[in-house]
Amino acid sequence: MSSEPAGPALAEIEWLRGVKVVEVTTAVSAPLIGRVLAELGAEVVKVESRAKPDVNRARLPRPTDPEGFPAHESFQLLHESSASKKSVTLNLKTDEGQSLFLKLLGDADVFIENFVPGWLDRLGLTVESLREKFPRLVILSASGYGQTGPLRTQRSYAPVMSALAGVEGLIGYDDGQVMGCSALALADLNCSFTGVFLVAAALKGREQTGHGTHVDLSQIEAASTLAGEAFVEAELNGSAPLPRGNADPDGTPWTLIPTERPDEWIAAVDTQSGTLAEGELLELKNLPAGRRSARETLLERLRVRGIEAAPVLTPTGVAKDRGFAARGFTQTVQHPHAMIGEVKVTSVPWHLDGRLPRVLGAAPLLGGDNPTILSRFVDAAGLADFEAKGVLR
Amino acid sequence: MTNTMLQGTLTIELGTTRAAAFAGKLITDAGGDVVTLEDSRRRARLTDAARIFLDAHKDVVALETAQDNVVIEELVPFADLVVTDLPQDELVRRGLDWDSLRSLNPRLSYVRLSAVGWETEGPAGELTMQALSGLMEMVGDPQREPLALPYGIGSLQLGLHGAAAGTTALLSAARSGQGRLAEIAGSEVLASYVRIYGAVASYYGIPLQRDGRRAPGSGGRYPFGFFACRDGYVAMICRSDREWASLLAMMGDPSWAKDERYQDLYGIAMKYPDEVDALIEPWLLEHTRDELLALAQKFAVPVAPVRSVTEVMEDVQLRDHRDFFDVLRTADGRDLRVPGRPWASPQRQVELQGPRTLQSVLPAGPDAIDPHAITHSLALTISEAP
Repeated sequence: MSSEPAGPALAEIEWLRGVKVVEVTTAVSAPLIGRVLAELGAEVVKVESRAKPDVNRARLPRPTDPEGFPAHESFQLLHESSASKKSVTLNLKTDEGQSLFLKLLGDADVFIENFVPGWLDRLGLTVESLREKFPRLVILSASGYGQTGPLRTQRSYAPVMSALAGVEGLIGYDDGQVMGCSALALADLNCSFTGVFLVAAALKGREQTGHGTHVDLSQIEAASTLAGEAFVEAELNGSAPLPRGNADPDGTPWTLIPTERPDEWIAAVDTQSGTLAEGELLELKNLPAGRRSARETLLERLRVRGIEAAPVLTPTGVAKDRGFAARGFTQTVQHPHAMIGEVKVTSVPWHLDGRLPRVLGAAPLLGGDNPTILSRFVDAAGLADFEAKGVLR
Repeated sequence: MTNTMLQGTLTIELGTTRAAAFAGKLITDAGGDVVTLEDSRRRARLTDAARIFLDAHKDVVALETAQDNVVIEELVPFADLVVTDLPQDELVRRGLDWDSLRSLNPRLSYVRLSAVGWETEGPAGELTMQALSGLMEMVGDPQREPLALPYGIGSLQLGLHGAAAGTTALLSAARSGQGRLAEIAGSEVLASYVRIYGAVASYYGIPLQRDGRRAPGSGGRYPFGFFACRDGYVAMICRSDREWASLLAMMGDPSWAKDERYQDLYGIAMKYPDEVDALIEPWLLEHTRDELLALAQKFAVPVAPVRSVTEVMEDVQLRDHRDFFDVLRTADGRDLRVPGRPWASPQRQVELQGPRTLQSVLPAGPDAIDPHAITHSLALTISEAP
């Protein structure tokens, strides 16, 4: 008998059934918007270039990769951000490629893009012209600094953006020194779900007005809203807040208590129990190594007294945790390339009408859906001709 | 217009934490009407600063539990969405749970936000979701205890997901005539974040553990992290040989960089990052953050200053070219600049006022909600600087 907990009910969610999305995206922040929409029921077509692929396809092979291993199809971030989609390849620098692209957009409800601002203009496909051609189309542009202003083309990665947004400068111990959270890429994922929100809102607005819109989303601005409370404090107090360490926003300290095992911790905060003597949590924190308790013992001792206490799990611990498994934290899908095999993808963590959205498949093979998607607009002979002329590169 | 996308929708925000509050804020930012039912617990749990930022554009109503029946009978029938972070047992007890409300209004959608997706043995909030998710383990100095993200950022992310799911539910309900239910746990939201970017480390076999100001193993290519400079810190990241070459050019192509040992970004990242940190640090310490930003723009290198929030307010791009900051005017006439909508949209100015009564926001009441003339309300007790 298996000791693995049963996962939740998986379902092909149909909340966005009938919605068609076209994206020209790279990395994670914008591609993940499309993946979430796909797992809510939309058809999402990722338009790609073989000459300038998504950075998650442009991976160096690892020393351990066997001969012939398809590195451009295997990187985990590609699957995290582009699972459940279709992929077509188009050379947008050719007239025929642009023509097919416009046909895709003419059939779509949403267009998502996140290349450096100005790329559409250089192709002669300005947002204004697209809105004129396709007045019902919702266009979401996601970029670091937004589509306007002198810094709009500044190169950005997530920690660069959260640093510019004022967020990283608030993260650190109570000595006030900046530590930051460079491992988390918070600005990217914050952008992804802000993007999902904005696309849904724009589609809802279209239900009322009949018109699409262009949403110009800035990742830096979105990250900055996470520090809104600190901006208010700065305005009220006349000085910028510094890192405050492990504490609630109102200053109530969190205590990190080491357990009997090396670098294993529990976190605890006493907000209102009234059951602890002053300094009791600090005493537990400062116990010498030989007198520390087991994690579960500590947790029970504190929780029974109404203290909020939780184990500080490692990412490996999360992966093994029965609670997370029972909620369907990850899903395993089969990749069509035999050398890749199974891919384990993080679930979109929403339970909708009692069901978890099913991951519909691994990230698509580059251009793997050219025949099925593009045949809506051109016959097989035409496609073969385009292939020969490099239109589908 | 992107500031009226959710015009004509009514959301009831029922909660006590930053999660429901941030979801409500985003919905009202996009033009939805949001009625926030505020009881004494919410007032106690959210700081003044939080309530100023999160509630400025909502209708905040001072609510007593005894008024639940008024909410259920006179507000819920007109609502499109409920966003709550209250415990399920309390919602059931008060008749405010999903099953009870949808029987009154089948088009109503409902978002329930919680810290953890399963029964917990004690209280669970921001601390629990950060600790359980693996997030805390990934932040901080490896020689010290794990470190939390400040200002309830975990709850804010939960609220963001609530707004995204809730708005998708609104869309689906508008098309199908049937309300939808979304249930989201903060620990799972944050754990998904850790796992998604942990994929980079996992792919390259890098141990996933906190590594100070540096991402674990620099994410497989050096550099990736925060570095000290003359007046603070800068974020500095190179993901390609070209960016590394540009960074070295920005530094004046130092002679040490000609050694093959310093051309292998994977090798540096995995085996000797401290050695290269020590080579770069003296040059960084000669330059201020602004000097480094100017050089970074000239050489097209992803380097940027770690800014304080007051410095962000002076960012020319955000302030002058994007009109990003909203202005909130307090009852005593002070103007507070705060982050506005993170998408191109007109700047807003609003006067903060005291709470409204429940009767005043009922659609059938004498002061019915008018999406074009909402009286913005907020209970304020602003503390002076210490």
